[in-house]
Amino acid sequence: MNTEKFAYENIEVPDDRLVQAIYSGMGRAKRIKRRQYAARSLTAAAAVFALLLCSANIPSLYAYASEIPILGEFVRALHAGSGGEQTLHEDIQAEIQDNELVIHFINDGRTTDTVAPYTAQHYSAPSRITLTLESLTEEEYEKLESQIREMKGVADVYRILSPEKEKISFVMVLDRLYDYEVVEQIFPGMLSIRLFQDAYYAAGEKAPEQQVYYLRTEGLGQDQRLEELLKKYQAEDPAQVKTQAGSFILTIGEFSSEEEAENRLSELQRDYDGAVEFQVSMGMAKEIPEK
Amino acid sequence: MKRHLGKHEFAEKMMENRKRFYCIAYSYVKNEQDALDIISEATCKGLIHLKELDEAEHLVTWMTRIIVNTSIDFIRKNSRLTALPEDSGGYPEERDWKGRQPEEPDRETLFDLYNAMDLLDPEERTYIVLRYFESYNFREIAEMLKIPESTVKSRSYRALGKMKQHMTGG
Repeated sequence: MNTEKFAYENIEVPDDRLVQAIYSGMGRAKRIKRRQYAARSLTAAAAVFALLLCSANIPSLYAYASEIPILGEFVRALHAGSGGEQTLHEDIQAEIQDNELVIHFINDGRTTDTVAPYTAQHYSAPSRITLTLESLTEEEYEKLESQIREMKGVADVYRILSPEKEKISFVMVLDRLYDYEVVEQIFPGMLSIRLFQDAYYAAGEKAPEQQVYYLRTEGLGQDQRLEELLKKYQAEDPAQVKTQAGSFILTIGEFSSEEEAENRLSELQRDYDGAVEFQVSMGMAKEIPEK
Repeated sequence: MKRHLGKHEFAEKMMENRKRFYCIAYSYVKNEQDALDIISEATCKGLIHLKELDEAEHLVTWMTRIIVNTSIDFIRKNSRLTALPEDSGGYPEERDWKGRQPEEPDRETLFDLYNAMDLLDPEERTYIVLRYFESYNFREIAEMLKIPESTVKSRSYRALGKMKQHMTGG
């Protein structure tokens, strides 16, 4: 009987999607194992603060992928940081699945092999992720923003000034402290950001009301003054935060104690001729500065 | 000597055999998305239970069993997939095959055979897929599914009988 060849030859294999299906299966297995592990480490509450501040979010898939040579070829940069490369595209496609955002770049009606350059950073107070994407058009950004608003765990999305004109930066404000994972995949190109319950406290349990200290400026408009300050303190990697009043502040650092923050301020004052724009402040994961 | 399989090797083997695995899943559901879901689910199950695999050499047959079981589960949960209405004219791609190769009666017959699989229980389908599509022998199938070889034989023939009856219009 020769059904074998006949039947199989006529099955078209969607190879890109098949590879992705295998990855997602492996990723899910890892997460399930991780959850089993997390349930056991609930008592490790003392470690929570360290976790929060170093943002020691275990980059599960990264740790995993780097162990697997074959995955390493496809999954490149992961977790917070930057990656991607020049990717010619005419459109982007974003998908939201609960607490996961997946971005594909489309060219000639096909998913591109790579993703455009990006930078992702995570902050604890207020809990948020800053994402910078290169070569994104205004239309593409708007589409993306409206979709991210639908994402579970995201309380707000706003644009911030980008250090370079050809880049678009924005902030995803999170409704609590999350563990998270940024995954970049090539062949086909995919950028995914996923939020999940921190391994150290159980589902539904409140994040610890931990105070985080940082240096901040006064509230400013998104104007030339803000731009000047951004440039002046560029080397300190300042973050931009939208206040409840709608103004923007620059922040530097996240510290577990007031003392550490004061020390940092002293350094800043020494290096920047007084650094009069900054002062020590504090906040919590769910606390947006008033003004 | 027994040799346990690491996650690296698991990933490599999955990649190596992915098309074959996909075809098995597809033979059950005849639908791309569902077949992909089955592969994803089976990969997840395989990796979680990797330690239970006794010997590395058995990975392909072991994964085949997981895929077969996942497919059967899937069909049970989505019973709409088990049979086509008489007048549906088959799946679109099947109509295409017919259109392309009308001059080959052999293929026509084979197509019917493939189509007749829809009449089989998911379990019965397993014997046809493994024996005739995957070319495993009865002994290998018996080992894979952990049932006696004689049972594999009798069930395979029964499944073939059902299909034959359908094709001869009986």
